[in-house]
Amino acid sequence: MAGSAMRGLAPRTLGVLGAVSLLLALSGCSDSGSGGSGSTATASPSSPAAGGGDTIDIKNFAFNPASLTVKAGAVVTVTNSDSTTHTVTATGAKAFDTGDIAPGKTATFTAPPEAGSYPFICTIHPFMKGTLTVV
Amino acid sequence: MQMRTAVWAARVLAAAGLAVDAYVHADLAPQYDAVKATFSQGDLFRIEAAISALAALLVLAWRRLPGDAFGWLVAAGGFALLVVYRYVDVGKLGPLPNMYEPVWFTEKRVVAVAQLVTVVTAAFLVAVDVRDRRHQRHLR
Repeated sequence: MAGSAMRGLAPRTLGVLGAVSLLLALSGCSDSGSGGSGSTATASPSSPAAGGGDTIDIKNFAFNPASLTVKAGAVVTVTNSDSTTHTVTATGAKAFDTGDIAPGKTATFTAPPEAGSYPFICTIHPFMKGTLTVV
Repeated sequence: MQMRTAVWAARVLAAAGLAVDAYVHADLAPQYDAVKATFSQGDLFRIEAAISALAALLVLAWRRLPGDAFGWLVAAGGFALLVVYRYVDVGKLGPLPNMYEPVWFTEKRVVAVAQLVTVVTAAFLVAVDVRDRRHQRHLR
């Protein structure tokens, strides 16, 4: 009985219901996070830490900081704060590579022993770029 | 009576699948604003969320062939795009960003399962709708 009543909904009523559902979906989009607006982080370069405090946080498809300076052989900790998997992988000869870091997980890699500048990307989302400077 | 129960169960499952599809896409949209050409992937996720929410409503409240077919189309189209962009590096397509993401993660798996549930149950609903239409035509 109730089913037949629903079937008889007027087109205007359905239109209103449709509009409400669209508004609900769109409002759901607006309150679920800060929302990234660029493909790279804008944080300023960091200076080398004394003892194993080198970290990279990945959030909203960006490395924070995008440029990190560490000592040769330093252990760098990477935290993935996004909802998707990321990697921190040196371009070229792959001087370092965390492999896949699942959402919410942490990984580490060892900085190369030679001083220099090492660009890195996320191999899953190659538009994510950063630079590791080894001193 | 059994058929009626099966139709209702299919309707609830199809709508639930679409609701999950809508929620997860809306939830992930802000992060995916970073993937952009003219439109961002976040924008496309919001559109998917809105269309899925509308389809869920139509499947549950309107309960007619066009609504059920729309629900099937939204789920099947969404699943096809998800799988394509999981395995094929499509590249930028005009104003659309390259949404290639060669990885599975929890939300993506949840959406894929939800869309598949809707594809199966909405197909059943469409088949029943078509059968009912034919039956009504015979009675006239």
